[in-house]
Amino acid sequence: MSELYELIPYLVLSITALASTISVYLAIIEKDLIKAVLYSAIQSTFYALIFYLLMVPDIVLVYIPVSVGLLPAILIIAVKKTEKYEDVTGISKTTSTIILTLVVIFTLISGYLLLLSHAITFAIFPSTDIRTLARWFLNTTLWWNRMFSAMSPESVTAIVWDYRGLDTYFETSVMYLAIIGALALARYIEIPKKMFKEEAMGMSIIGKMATRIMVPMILIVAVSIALHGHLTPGGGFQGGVTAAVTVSLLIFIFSVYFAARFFKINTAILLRIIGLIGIILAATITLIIGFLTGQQAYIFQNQPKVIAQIGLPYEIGGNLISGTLLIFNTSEFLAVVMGFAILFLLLSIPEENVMEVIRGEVE
Amino acid sequence: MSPIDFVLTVIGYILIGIGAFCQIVAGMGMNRFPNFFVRLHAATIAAIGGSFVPIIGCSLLALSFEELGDVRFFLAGGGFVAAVFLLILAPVGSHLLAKAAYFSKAAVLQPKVVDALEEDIRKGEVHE
Repeated sequence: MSELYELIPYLVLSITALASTISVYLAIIEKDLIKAVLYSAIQSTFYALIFYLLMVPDIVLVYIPVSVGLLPAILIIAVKKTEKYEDVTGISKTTSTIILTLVVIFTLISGYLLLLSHAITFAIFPSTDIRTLARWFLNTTLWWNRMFSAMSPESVTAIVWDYRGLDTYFETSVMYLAIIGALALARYIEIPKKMFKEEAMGMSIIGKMATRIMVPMILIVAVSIALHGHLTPGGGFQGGVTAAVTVSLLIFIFSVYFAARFFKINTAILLRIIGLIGIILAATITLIIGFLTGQQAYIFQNQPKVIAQIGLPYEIGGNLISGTLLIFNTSEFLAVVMGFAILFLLLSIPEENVMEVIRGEVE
Repeated sequence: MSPIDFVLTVIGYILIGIGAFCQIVAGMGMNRFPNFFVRLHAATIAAIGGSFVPIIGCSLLALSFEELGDVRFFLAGGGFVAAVFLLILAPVGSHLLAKAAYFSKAAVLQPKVVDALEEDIRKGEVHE
């Protein structure tokens, strides 16, 4: 009996999927637009049921009113406005309105019943054990067992920089190679130096003043995202992209000549290399310590493991730093900011200067 | 509930109501105004009246809701900071949009009643 009970969701899922496919086919081949809209609404109803069986009740709550109620209504109105409505025979205006109203009422009632059954923990189909995965990750990435733990409450950062460290390293290398390629393409091209006064460049003084107020705030938020990457959602890449907004603001609001005055491309390359060296050091620091002390260690090792007893401290003075994760996030922040700054500066070089260099080379 | 909390709650609800009214007015303006510049005026009403004012109201509500404990100060502080940034940035964005649209002649200036900027440019006080 219990086996049959477990089979019911899969049976309903397959039947629903088949029915939704059939209604999509009918909606496509149907010449009568009103009927096609109705088939589409029926297909949306089946989709809502599938979403519910796949245990996403929040999406069902949005999907039912929008896709079943609102979208067909708007489509019916649009069909009516294009005057195809009168030509479409078969269903009269009042009949289609009645059918549409019935569909909307049916879906509202069924959605409400589904929600009710979920709310009073009827537990018809969806499992109540929905948070197992989250609980497992939270337990393994923090505290549960130091031999498996990354000592970080933020599972995403722990997976990205500890469990799957090599993947992220190659991801960073891909972006580094892309920027090397851009630099190689633009190797003799420089941002022209123009000694304009500051007032003569860029947008109006109102925009400049607001940018002056906002740029330090954006930088503070970016650094906070990067440094709290092992505690809260975020991390080095996200913080770096946030900080790169300031460079694009400087270029667009103050003009590229003003930005190039105190932000040289060579300095940006140097800082980016420092960030990458930080990433490599953090990846190999346990290996170096192990080599010096004669113990076994691995690259991208953060906390001590069973067969390799070397690890970085996970806290300093009671503050959680999660070993290498903080170094990774800081270095990645520096590398990403400078990489995006280089790209923005290269992309904003005027075309005349590029053409001058290219023609000069040809001659 | 202490009297101060009661007053804060009432003021918060009033501010949120003002915000809803401003959003409706701005929506009507976006639909019915004739050209880009007056529509921008409606959009700024939505940004200041419809976002800045209700965020302040929400912050006051959070401040007066004692069940939240100390978290309410974080909520209210974040709300106030976000509201102040909105107050600074929304008019600047409208100004830059209007200026760019005017000087690039991307927006049609019809119907026009008075154009002070054009007179200033003719006198030579403002350069493009």
